[in-house]
Amino acid sequence: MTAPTPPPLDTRRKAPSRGAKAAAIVDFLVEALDGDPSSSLRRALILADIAANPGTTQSQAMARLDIPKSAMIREVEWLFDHGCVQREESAADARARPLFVFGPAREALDAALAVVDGDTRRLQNFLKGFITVIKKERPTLRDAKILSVLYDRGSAEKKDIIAALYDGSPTTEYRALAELIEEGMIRDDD
Amino acid sequence: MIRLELETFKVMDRHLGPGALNSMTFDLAYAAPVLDAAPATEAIHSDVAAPNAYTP
Repeated sequence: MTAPTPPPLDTRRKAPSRGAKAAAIVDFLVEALDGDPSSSLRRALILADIAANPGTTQSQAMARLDIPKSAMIREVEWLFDHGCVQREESAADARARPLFVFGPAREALDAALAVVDGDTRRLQNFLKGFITVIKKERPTLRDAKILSVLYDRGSAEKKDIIAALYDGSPTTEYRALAELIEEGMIRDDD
Repeated sequence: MIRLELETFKVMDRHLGPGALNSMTFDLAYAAPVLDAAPATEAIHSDVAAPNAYTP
């Protein structure tokens, strides 16, 4: 039996920074949410909760996450419409619709979880941390990516930040930057 | 030039720092496609071998 080939040296030379880890998690979550970086961090939190509790009902997830009913209904509808979750019939309760994360959403979420050793609680704490950090009514994954990109160095050219985002409408990307500037979380030195 | 406000950094550090992201083990196999797809991100993070190279 031959010994396994070790990975090339350059892949283990240094650990990725915290900011790079955060950015990778955010990117995987965008992928899990049908490629929509405008998704709220709360939506990602709900997806992670459903994945961790397969077969959960909307009411159970709502209670676990302490999310208002109207918001939960809206987010679960979005997840269903975008093919991130499926709802099954319950033999025990006709009103209950067990929820499951499946398909590409499941795969991308698993990739995000792999960054935190598969620990859903840590992924949820990561998202809750960003929700606390970003002083906006509806913080998005795009906001989290901007701050992740800036976390290690403290500053970056505007064009480099935009290039690290999601090839969306430049207006949307610049608006996200402007809102974070307005909230006093980042500043523009130009 | 966009700069992270020191207060934001401090709060992020509290939430993303020791006990959170800092304790993660991280498989570069997962990171590589992400970083390759976003060269600007990689450039931004190219000098962060020393953690928290933040300068206000």
